[in-house]
Amino acid sequence: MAMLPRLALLCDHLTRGVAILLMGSMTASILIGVFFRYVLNAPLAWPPEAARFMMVAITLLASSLAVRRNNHLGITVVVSMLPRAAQVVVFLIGNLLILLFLCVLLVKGLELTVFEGPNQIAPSLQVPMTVAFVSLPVGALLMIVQLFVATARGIEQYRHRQSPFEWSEPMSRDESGAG
Amino acid sequence: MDVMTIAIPLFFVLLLAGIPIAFALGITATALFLLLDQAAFFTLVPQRMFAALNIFTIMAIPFFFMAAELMTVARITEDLIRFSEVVVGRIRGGLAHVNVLASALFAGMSGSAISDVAGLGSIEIKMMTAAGYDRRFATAITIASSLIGPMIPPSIIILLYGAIMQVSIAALFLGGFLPGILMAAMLMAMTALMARKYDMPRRSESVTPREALTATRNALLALLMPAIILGGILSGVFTATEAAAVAVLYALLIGLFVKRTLKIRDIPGILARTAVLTSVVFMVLATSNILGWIIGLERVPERIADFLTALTDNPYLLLLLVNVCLLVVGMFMDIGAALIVMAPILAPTVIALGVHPVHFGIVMSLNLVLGLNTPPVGPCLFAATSISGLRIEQISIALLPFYLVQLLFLGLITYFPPLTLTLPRLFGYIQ
Repeated sequence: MAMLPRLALLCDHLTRGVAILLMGSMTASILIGVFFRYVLNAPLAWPPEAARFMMVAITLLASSLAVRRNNHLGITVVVSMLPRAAQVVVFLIGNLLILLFLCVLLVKGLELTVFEGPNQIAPSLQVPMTVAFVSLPVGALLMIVQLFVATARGIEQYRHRQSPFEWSEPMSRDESGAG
Repeated sequence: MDVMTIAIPLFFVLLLAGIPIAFALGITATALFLLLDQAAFFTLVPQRMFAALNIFTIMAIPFFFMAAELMTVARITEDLIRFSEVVVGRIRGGLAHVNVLASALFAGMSGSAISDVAGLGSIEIKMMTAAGYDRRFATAITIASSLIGPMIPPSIIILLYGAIMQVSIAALFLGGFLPGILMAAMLMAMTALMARKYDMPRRSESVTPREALTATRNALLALLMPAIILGGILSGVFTATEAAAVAVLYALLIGLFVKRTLKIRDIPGILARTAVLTSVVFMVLATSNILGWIIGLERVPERIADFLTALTDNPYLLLLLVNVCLLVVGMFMDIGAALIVMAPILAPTVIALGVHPVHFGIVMSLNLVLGLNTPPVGPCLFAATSISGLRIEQISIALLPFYLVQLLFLGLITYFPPLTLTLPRLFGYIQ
């Protein structure tokens, strides 16, 4: 278990790096598409599709960054009115349910990627859909890893007599890679 | 067995238990699959999520986030404030008017109210308190004016509506334009009343023509951006996504080479933040699509329609009901999530009773926008607490006069459709 926080931090760094690359590439793809269509008058087929697949990947991968920082939006006003002990119980049950959902996404996403992916060909890129589907199980796995970090953080909040729900670290602009 | 009698309470329990909306939707859907005794449906989880995200139109959203981030980091927002100061700074309560005007200008480049509070808010509140304004009033007008951001196009929430409900983005964007201007005008009118009543300061020194010229030139550089976005979309040259990407490029070039306030090393951080902001909205979109499959299967929109039309078949009364319901939902739920969940359920009924799809899109979006500045969970309120150092209660009380303005505004938008429909008609996007 002592390895988990370090593994999770490593995942966070890597995910952040990949998300940055994908976000840059997605923007570049659309701009290349615009350039070829309007300036060179020779429209390309691949940019919209490549950008869409990157957008799916960004959503699933960056979601793990958001899970770690408790950035996903929820309604915490009601639960915050409960006694502290009840709050932490609700918090743990809630995170267990999230874990179960993510496991479904992981397993079924993996099946989709491995079994369906090779049979479907992306119309414009002419590659197997595996490349597009793979962000689903990978994202689910990363979210699971960071969910443990967020859960530990919530428990720590509780130990310090604070709400396990009411904390969040905004993704800062000048985060130099550090979690 | 009726699945929905379980689904709705289950979803609300999960939501009130503090589970993030994106996951509450996914958990509800998965639980219903189990309940239908169809674990085979589990394959729909990744499939529906992928299908919801693999859509070109919604890509404009990350680009709008990115453009706003770039403009804030490159301090292009400051040029807008300086320009507004030259234009309206000298009247009584001048800086409050500056606050509204700068938001209206920024609204033409940014698509969300939060970007407005983050990009303009800290400078505006600092300027106003330094000039002797009450900090509570300064914060309140900053928040109230930030709501113009998602009204004047581009608008993330309106784009989301168009993408979900398959309504022309150009028509919706045009539809939001006059309401945005009206909101700005109403806020300025309220400011003028309050400025007289509370004897607010005015700037005494005048601007030299040279200063005015510099301020205008700098602002023009920024104001070319809405021209690119709107001009591109309305002329049919660009899709909203392409226009938004070009706006990103434009902000990048201005920041890096013209103003030189942006450094290459700022860019990775901006991209990472954009990725997270995007993911928070899009995960809700993805998981709601799983639940959407069951909602479609169970004919929920039709049943809601039957229920609502049994209450009344008067479109005006129905709009009133829907408005009250949306206002309450908007107070508690994230705006994007509320729209994603409620639009497919409510829109068909309201439209069937003769309300124009574009009109309802604007009414629904703007109604939910108001929830951004109301307690208990208004994101703009929260953003402003950290900037101003005030508590939510203090800011909400200072916002009371503006809440009145907003309710009046909502009534006008709801019951006076020409405000919304005139421009899209004029440009030939709707009949």
